[in-house]
Amino acid sequence: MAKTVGPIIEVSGLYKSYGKVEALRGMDLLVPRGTVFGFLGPNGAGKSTTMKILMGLIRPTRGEAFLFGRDALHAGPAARSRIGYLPQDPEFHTDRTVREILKFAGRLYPGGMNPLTLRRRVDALIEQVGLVGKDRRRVRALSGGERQRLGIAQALIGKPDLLILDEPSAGLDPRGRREVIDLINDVRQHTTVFYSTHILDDVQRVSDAVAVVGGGRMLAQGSIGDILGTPIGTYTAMLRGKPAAALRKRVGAEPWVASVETVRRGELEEWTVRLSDDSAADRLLPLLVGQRGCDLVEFHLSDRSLEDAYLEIVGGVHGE
Amino acid sequence: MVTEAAPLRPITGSGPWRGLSGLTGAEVRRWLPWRSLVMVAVGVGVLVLFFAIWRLAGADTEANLRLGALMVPFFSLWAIALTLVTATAAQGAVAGEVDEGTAAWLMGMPIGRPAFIVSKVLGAVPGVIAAVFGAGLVAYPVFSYASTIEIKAFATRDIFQVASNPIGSDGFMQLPAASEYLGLLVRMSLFLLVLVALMVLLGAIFRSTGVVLGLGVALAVGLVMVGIVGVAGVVDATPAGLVSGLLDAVQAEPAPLAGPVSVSLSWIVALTGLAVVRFQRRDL
Amino acid sequence: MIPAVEISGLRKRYRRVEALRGIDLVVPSGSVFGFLGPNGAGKSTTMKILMGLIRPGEGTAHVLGRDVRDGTAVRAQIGYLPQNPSFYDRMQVYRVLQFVARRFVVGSRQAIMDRVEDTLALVGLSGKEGRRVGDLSGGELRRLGIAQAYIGHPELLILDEPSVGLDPAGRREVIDLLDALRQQTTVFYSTHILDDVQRIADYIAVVDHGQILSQGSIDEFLSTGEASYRVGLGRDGESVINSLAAEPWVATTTPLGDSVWRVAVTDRSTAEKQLTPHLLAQGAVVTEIRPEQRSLEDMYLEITEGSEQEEAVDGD
Repeated sequence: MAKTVGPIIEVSGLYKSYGKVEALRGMDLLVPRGTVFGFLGPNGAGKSTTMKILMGLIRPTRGEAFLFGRDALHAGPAARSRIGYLPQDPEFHTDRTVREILKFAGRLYPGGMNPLTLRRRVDALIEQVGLVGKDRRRVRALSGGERQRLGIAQALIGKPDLLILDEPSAGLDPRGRREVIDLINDVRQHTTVFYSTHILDDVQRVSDAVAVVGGGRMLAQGSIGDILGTPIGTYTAMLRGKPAAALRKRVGAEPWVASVETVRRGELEEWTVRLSDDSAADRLLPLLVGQRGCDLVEFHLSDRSLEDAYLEIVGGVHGE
Repeated sequence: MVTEAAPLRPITGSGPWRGLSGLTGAEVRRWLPWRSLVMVAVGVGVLVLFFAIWRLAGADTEANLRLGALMVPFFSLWAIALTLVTATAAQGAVAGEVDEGTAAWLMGMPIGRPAFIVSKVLGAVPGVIAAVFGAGLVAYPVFSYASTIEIKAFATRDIFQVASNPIGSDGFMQLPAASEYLGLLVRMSLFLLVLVALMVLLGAIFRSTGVVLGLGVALAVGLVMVGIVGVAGVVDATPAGLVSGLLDAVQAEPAPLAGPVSVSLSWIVALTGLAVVRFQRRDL
Repeated sequence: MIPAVEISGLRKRYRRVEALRGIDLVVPSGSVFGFLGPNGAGKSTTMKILMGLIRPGEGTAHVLGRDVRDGTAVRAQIGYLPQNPSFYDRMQVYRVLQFVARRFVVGSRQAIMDRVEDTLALVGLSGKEGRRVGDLSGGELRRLGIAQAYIGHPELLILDEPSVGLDPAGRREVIDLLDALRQQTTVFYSTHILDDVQRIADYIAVVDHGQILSQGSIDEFLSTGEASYRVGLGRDGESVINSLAAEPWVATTTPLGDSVWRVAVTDRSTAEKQLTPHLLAQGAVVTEIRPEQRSLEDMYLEITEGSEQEEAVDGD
């Protein structure tokens, strides 16, 4: 197996239009080898289109795409023998059993596997995706999470170096999503995983790097840390009870406070205080403590979730 | 120019009929104008077909000299076409709405289930009547005109005869009298409304629109057969009476109207009532 | 106050499948209530019974004090968004809202149109009133769904998976919308996005295999088990932490890293009152005080774990 260094997926200036609709308008993308890479963006941003172009399912209008450092647009199917792909809404023959589907997928691989190797591979996969004891079940008797795991298993059959998963956790309940995430975590040592999703907390949990796309273009990409940035100067405090209205006024009046926002959350009130002078942080807490009718139960720099960052990045291009 | 509108008040009271007028209005708009126009177009299309047959073949034989001779086959074919179109249009009335989930949406509002069912039948009334009378009233002058002239004498100017000769005037009409012809259209409308009620009942029972359509058409065809060849006692007690009367009327034989109409109205009420009872117990 | 929803011992059987096996549920009036559980657990069935769409088997279900078997009178108080909402595709957006509004309120045409306009603005569909329902995007359709549920200004909103299929921006819009409505109405909704629930819900219930596994306020859910705090201190943190150890409500203190400690406490409510004042009294510079909570997702997975195994046994 040729060990190429450099990115496993490289896309630059990719355009694709369907009639008047421009699905991609100059998409750029760089997926480093060995990462679990989250591909994020609103519905219709061009995620599936990009993945399908990489898989050779549709042709771009113009632009370049490289897989494993080789031109992916003009290469034959052999170039994709090292890729496992799970489409957005995978359709299986619902009458077939789990084992039949995996065997069928295994035979499709170029070069093929001898029956013994294939059986061993199928057994290993069934175990890996946690479908042991369910391998004789027909697809229609599987839950949504089990179907997605089967989909990932068939994508994994050829021991791919790259796994492309289009919304593997769409429509799953939290347990199903957790199963998919755990599975991605399992395969990360051997395989680069490039997957799209809307569940940002899952991304924050397993991904090394992410790309946010919108309107057919790359908006931001980098490690999760890069995307989140470092929060400074904004503090969150939770007060149990009902703080007097005067307290908010008093805090807001301090010269080193830029703004104060409060939101009621059940018995708690959440305060978000933005400081104009970060060095004044140690003066904020004493103001909030020892107030009549309320106790401070939480105080820290405001968290910035991937969702906040995402919404900021996408904010400019969102809107239907 | 800001006008302060009177504030909105919550609805008061409740009951099985709440929402009937709103739903019926929505249902009427589904039939009118488009469905009815399609049905009129089907009727006019059949008419044009027969007119063409008459023009091409009429000169050959003495019997075919008058288009009037084609009236019975025309009405048969037209009635069959309308039966199919109506059955197709009405198949989704309940079964389709349950299947697509709009029924769950509607029944989640303060709307009585009986109101939903009854609106499906009531809402079809104007559309069905418009469809039948639309094509029927076009067919009437065409047939009455055609029945007065011989094919050899046909010329473009003859068309204007229709305008200059009032319909039903002496010697011009040899086909059903106007009153009998109107009765014929009433029969046809009522028959289609029985069919709508039947489709609604089937929709309240079965989930699949295919089953509803198949059974509906089969039962409609069965009624027609009973109407044509059936035992008099059975015919009188069923809407099939409309069919046998229809055939008589087309052939300019006076047929009773009041009896079949009241029998059929009772059938519509009974079928709708059964649908209401069945739908009350239905899980959506 | 009468609870918005009160269900007890509710059962429902479809032929061989027992969809609900004794649901007991109370949704307090004025709350945002998250209804959680795996696919097929019985969430939609429960909601449909409340809406009179499905006939209840055994047990009772009351909405705003009325028996759900009472029919239309019950539903006049509830706005409902079905799981896969479908409206008349060929209707224009404003017509749908006008139609729904007239089912709930009476008034002049002008007043109804004002209500339609306000509701469109609330859900961010202003300017799209003339679009046909069939031409709306998934996100727009969801927003129309919430609009039509709310347009009668009901006392209770029942929303079945209002954010399914939406991208993060769409989900945030839904969450913000529910947050905005919380003063006006009780919201009872089902979802799979636990972080959203953690953000806005006051109460939750977890259902699986037709039974409620757990219900209560979200605080109770998250604060069960041993209570501990993550405490970050500036200069001289070490000595301040050591002084804490003498307090009777402090169980243990563990360093977690550079100037960050875990302080486990025996009694959370005492800790809430005394921890911060104590630290300040010792002259500490407090950079962080954070109750260590398990995430709702951890809780959820733990709660549904047992019933998952039970299913495996049933299945074989």
